[in-house]
Amino acid sequence: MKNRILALALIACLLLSLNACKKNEEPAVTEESTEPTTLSAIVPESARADASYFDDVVFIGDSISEGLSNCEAAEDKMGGAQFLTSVSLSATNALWEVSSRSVHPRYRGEKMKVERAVALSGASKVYIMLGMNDIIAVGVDKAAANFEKLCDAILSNAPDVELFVESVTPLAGEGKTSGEHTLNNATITQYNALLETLCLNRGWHYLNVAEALRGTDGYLRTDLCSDPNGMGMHLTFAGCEAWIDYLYTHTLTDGGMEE
Amino acid sequence: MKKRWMALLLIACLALSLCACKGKDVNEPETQSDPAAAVAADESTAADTSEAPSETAAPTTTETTTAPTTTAKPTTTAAPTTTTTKPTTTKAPTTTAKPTTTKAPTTTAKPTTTKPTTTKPTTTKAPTTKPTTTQAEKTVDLTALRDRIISSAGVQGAMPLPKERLTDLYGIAQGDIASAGCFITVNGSFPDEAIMIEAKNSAAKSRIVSALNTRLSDVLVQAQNYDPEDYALARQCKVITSGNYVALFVSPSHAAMESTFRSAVG
Repeated sequence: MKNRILALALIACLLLSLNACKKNEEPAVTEESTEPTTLSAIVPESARADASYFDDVVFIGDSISEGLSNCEAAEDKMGGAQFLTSVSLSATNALWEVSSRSVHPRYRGEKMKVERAVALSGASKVYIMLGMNDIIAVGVDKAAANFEKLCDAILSNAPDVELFVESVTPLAGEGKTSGEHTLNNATITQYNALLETLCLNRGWHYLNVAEALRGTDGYLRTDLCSDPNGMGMHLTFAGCEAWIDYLYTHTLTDGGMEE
Repeated sequence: MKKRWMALLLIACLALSLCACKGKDVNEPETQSDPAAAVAADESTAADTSEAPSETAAPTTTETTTAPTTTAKPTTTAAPTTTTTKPTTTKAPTTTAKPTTTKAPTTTAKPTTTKPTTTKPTTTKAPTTKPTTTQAEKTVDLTALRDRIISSAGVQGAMPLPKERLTDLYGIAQGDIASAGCFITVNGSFPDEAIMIEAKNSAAKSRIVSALNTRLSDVLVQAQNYDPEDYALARQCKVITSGNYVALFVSPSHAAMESTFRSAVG
């Protein structure tokens, strides 16, 4: 009789231990399946912000952003937003020293390095769109590396700013090749993917502005392009308005990473 | 004896089940590292150049009120970064460019309009003030002139630029402006930019001329680094003056705009 009881106890014990192990497995599986999808650097759609949201924003960019600056100068739609833009500016040449031949933007009439201008501007949010001139000059990987260097330089001069990285906008045409590097929608997509990963790793925010301007065919919508028969990259006034509208509806109210 | 065996088995079974459950925990943290792999490898290179830009930024923080030329100092620190030398490929498309032209606009301020005032008074009868007043005090409605230029030159998508924006865009003090008529566009890589200003006095005028020449030299440098056609266009643009009126037309239609401006201002 005692033997039987012991045998039963042994079986029960085995069953219990098996069950316990099964229970332990379950949470591990659910963690794995949810973790990769929850963390994102992308700023999601939000309620429309007030113009005052842009009072402490400084925009950094090339000729694409210069168009935005012109729109803002004429229309005054984005509060007290400041602009550090220059035609042909890139993350690469922004790292060069300032000279009479350099294309650094001016701040209060003085040509200076972007990071210094950001610090002097007093802005707490930095919106930066650069890369178009880098991809064609140094290729996708180097362009992204230089972008990170420039952002680091900005943060070392203005450690408290929040970085909002804007995706490079698409082209209306097939693009161009110079030497070994090509600027087209495929390389822009690769570059943007690197920027998004960079933002995720560094805790910066990624604004996918390109999605507001891209047609269903993946190209810049021709009705938003001011030079469809030329470079096929610059925006019309309507294009700038679509961009501004996107910025207004993709803001962070509480800061930090979105889930 | 049998009981002992059974008890030992029971203990062994418990020990095994505990071991099995512990083993599960060890594998879990693996998932976190995946997304970082691609960019993490480059972080070492980022550290190299992040030092360089901060060097130039460090020297001056109160420089905003000082003359722009003081930025010459940071250039002496030279480019310690290796990346700065390689990107010279961006210069390639602009080999036709002749950078020396940046000087030209600064001297284009045409004093010829003041000459007629000195010739006319030679009649001795008439007071010398008359001719000068007609020339210097000729008032032109610059906003009306702006609209006329937009329509006559057929500028697409022109946006009037309020004179209040001339300070942050061009560094022109509001106190120097008597009136202004300006517009800009967002067209392509060489957007139109028309600035017409009536200065309050001759000192204000020279400051405005200087500010617009600075802007023009920036346009030249930027175009030189961007597109040869744009650069060729930019080289033709200049700051023009008449009395206290100053204008800059950066546009493919600059010649027509300048002509309209000159005929209106005298």
